[in-house]
Amino acid sequence: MRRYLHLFIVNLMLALLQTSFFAEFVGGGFNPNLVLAFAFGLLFVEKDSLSLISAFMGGLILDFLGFSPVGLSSLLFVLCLELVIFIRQHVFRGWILNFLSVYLTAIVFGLFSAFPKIILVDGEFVGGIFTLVASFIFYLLLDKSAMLKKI
Amino acid sequence: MKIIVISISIFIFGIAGLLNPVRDGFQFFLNPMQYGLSRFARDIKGAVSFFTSLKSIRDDYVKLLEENYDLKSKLLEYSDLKEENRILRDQLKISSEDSFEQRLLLAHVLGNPSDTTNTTYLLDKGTREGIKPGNSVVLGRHLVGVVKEAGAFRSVLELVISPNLILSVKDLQTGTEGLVLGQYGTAIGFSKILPSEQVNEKDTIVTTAKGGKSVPGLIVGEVTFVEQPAAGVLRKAVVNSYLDLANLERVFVILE
Repeated sequence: MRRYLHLFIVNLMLALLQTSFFAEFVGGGFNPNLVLAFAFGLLFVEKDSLSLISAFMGGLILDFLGFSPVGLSSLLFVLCLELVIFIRQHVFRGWILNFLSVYLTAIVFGLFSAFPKIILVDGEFVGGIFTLVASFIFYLLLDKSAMLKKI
Repeated sequence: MKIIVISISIFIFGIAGLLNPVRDGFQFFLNPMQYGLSRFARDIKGAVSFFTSLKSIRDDYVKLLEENYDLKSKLLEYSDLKEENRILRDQLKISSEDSFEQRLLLAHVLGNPSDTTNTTYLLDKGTREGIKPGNSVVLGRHLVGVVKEAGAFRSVLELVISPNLILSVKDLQTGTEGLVLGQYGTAIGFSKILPSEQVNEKDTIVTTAKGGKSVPGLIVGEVTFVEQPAAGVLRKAVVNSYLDLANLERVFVILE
């Protein structure tokens, strides 16, 4: 239970930073998706089930902070992560898949961010790169520090 | 697999609106924190842009001083007109045009991370404070936009630069009427101008009561470009808001 509480707190902080600080500082489609990056960071350190729960919680928090239908972000995150886990287990694995999956998931999420309208702005392509960098930073943090043990 | 089923179930509940009370509670508690973080980011951005544009700030300052002298002389003229207007109003027993100012509600701008087109903002006030979709949002007498959606503790503001917002307007100097709608997410298009009608650069565009989408008499912006007339074709002009819509912090909602 404590592990879920820690995950919730981390995701809440990331969602707040993403939707207020970075949304204002970077703006538009350039905004990195920190919640998604953190979930992928967990996936990169082989914590598959934890990354799914993190994506689910983080997505839900993002929906509660905005006006899109509640559950949309968590469903998108979870579906994308499940797909990546499946590919890793049955098709191939490696950093190319990791990078591609983060980038494409960020773009897919950007596409549905104005649901029911489906819009893709140019900035999303750069935002995807920022998300990719953030996921790699989270991977390094989780891999090298005691952060993961706490979670 | 279990988590997918749970996610789908929550999504269905979300679409049906069953989780809206939870969202309202969540937003109520996190509104101040989000506003604080947005403001902090805005301050950092402001400080950076100040130091990187010191030269243009100096040029602007000199220009503003010149404009200030000019405006001071116009102010004298205006105060005479105002007094004349007041006497006429008293004589004709007309109520004040500024009555909407008594129905203003201050709201903080929270940004809108889910809108990548930068044409909507979240406000930290909602239906609990009396906001309804369709309410006009202003800064002084300048129109910022119209409330698009309203939750209990938050609402979505659609800016005048949004291509989804069409307003009925007129040219204050020439009286030419037309429609405005946002373009490119930065400027506003003034369309349906008859070839015989006049719209000039630097004219001020204000809202009219037609269409009922906004309170009439609010300033939309200044004409910055007018399309060259072609025979028998409706013309267009580009209007720019006087406001810095990208850096709004506080706005006022005109309640019904």
